[in-house]
Amino acid sequence: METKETILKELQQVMGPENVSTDDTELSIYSRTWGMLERFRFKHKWVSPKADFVVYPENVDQISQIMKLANRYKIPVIPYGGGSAANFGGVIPIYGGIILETKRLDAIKRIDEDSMTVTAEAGINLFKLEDELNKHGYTHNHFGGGFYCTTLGGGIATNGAGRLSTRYGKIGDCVTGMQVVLPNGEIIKTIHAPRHSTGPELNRFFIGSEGILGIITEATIKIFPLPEKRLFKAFLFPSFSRGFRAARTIIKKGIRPAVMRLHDENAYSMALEYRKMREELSLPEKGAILILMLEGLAEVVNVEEKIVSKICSQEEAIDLGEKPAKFWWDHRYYYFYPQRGKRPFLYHTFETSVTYDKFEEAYHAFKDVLLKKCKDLIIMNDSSHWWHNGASMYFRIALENAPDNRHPFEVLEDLREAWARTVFKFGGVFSHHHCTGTDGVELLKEQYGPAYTVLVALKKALDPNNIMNPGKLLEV
Amino acid sequence: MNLKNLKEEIELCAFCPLLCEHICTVGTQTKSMVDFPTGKCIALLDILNKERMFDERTVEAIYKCAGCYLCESWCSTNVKVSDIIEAARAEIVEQGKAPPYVMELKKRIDAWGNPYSESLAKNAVIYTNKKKHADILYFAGCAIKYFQPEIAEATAKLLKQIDADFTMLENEMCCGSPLFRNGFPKDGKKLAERTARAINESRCDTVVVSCPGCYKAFVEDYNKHGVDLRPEVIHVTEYFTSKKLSFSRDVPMAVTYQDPCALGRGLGLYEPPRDLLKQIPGIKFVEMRWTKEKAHCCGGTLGVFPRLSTQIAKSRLAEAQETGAEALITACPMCKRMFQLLRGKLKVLDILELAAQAIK
Repeated sequence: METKETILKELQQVMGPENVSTDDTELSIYSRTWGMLERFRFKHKWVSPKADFVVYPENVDQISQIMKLANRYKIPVIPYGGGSAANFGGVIPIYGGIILETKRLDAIKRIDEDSMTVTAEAGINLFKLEDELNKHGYTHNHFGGGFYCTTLGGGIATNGAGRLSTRYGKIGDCVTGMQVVLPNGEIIKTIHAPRHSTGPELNRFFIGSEGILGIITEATIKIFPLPEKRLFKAFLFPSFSRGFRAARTIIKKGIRPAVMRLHDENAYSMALEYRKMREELSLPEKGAILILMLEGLAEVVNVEEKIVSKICSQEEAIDLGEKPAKFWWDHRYYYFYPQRGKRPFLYHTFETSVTYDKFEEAYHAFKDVLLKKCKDLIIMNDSSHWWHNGASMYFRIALENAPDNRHPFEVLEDLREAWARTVFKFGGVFSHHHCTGTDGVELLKEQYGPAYTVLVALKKALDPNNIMNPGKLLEV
Repeated sequence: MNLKNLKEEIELCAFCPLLCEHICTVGTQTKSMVDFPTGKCIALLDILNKERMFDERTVEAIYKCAGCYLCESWCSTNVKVSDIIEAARAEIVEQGKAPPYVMELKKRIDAWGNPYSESLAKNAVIYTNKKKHADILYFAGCAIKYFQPEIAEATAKLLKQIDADFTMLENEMCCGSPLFRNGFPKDGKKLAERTARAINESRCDTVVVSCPGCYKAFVEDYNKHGVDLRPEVIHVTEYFTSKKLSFSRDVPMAVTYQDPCALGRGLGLYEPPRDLLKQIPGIKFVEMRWTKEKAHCCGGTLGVFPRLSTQIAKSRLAEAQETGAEALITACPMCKRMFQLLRGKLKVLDILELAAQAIK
């Protein structure tokens, strides 16, 4: 207790008393995440561990001093950005400690239109950043499901993928430089240059590191001129396989649609947004739908449209025109909002990415393994991020009723375990863009194999006292 | 609505992964999760589940809501956060945990019939011909009556210009809105009944209202609480756009318009003020980047948190300046006061003051 009071006094000296909180309400609210899983946790009386302090730094020097202090007392520090739940517990203070709220670091330092980059403090909200960029005729192009609540630093630390990833990459692909406070309090800047051959790319150490290696306090990311033209197209395929082949061919031909989302038959027939779309636009009831948005110079977009249409027709797709794709775009955040009415016993997502050579086989294997575990499971996939060598799969799963009176977490645990093992069998990843958080710590060893020691060594070298967001990503 | 009856709504907001972090008028300034609607709802759920009591921080968060409805305008689930906040405030009052500034407001209204401890007779009839009865009753609202009489003067000038048969209440009282909004629905109803009685006795056909807060109370709260208010109630901008004002002077000025939250998102009145602005000769109207349903709030309802409300107003004023306008026009005394306090480069005027400038 004496130590806690001592730490409080020291934190107050660094931050000013008004920027340090030990208020029970504040600690309780900051010790949760939001979203689907949290709702289940709440319903089933899962009590989150509680932080000891919430601090609201306003500059990087304060963060540096907090880290030095935390190291001295070996107390955990949990960097807090938007606090959404996509990474399943990424900001939950498993071992208590200091929640470091980053949102007050939200200045835009420079919009460099010549080099097409923006430099901003890490706590800036991506929606706000986009709004400012739009005023200058630019966009950052990262419109993930959590666009409204994601901070720049949080997005990079989780390496999120937005709706336009196929053309512009994940947010990590767009980072050109960073300022990071290391666990020992040292403030570093990575090399900010248009590529370099002077050692490993340090940015990559911190992209997707989920706050276990340091605190991202500032970043420079690519920006893009607002597109001259946006063209929407939708195609309905007889099967997910035919749609997959068309999408892969589009990538092979060198076309990078800003949006390319292939939703399988189940998703098209059962997912909330598609039920709404089919009803409002009177669309056919069955098939796998490909939503496309091509953008850029009008002349180029027009040519791309012709090529894409030809590829899709070769796979016997029905051209649904622009309306369904436009509808999807206009409702792109719709199903993230909580829905009214009866909720299923269990609702969750599993997401991964697999190379093209194993993609189709893996898709069926994932579904089979989940159905084997739970025969009444509703499984809907969309593949929305298409890369040079493979694509993502995003399975939404739902179970209407409890099987044999089992607890939903028990069912979920079973499903997750079986799913992950199958993912590894196909060389897939535990998470394509949601991150690991507290969810897959024990599975990551298996994911990495012998390379896991590199991750652990890196963690130990940078954070010997294991104070940075412990309990996430790695077991140390 | 009782807080317990809103549990389903509270839960929907509490577990929404989108969090309104991009727009909440308060949270985007304080940057504390407790101040976003979701944070407040998490705290309320804990209270409803008897896991915690209303403590000082929760009470502060519940009263630190601008009541601007901006979160509601983004919410696909259509959660009425404003209903939740008002129910929570009523519960706080019921439990005797209302903060001193709220109790002080209640005390003033009880003692004076208005929130500013002013004599009801002050400024009440100076704009009228002291008629007891007329077709039109102009209801200025306390903020205008005591602090911005220039708005009432402009309104009277315009009413005279169209030869309207109008009057004001000799002792115009508070409409009850501050009580409805701050957790005193029963007291609000009592006050509303007194005010409604006075209005009914004027035997007017139409009440023309300036203040969006009063307007919302008349058309929504009075109805909800079964208060008998007989005449039709309309906003000044609705009234004057439906009349033929004869403008005789150009007002050569580029202006932008701040949608008052209660008038815009609260009651859906976006076009009448714009139509009126466009009728004024010489005016060049430019919209701000975020307008109408998505217009940002001025922070005026958060006067008890002066630093916060000033930050909010500054942020909105900067948006107005970006338009290149020379004047920021609004239709709410609270907005006008907030922007004027900042002493920025832009002229700040009520829409009727601007209209009155175009009349000799």
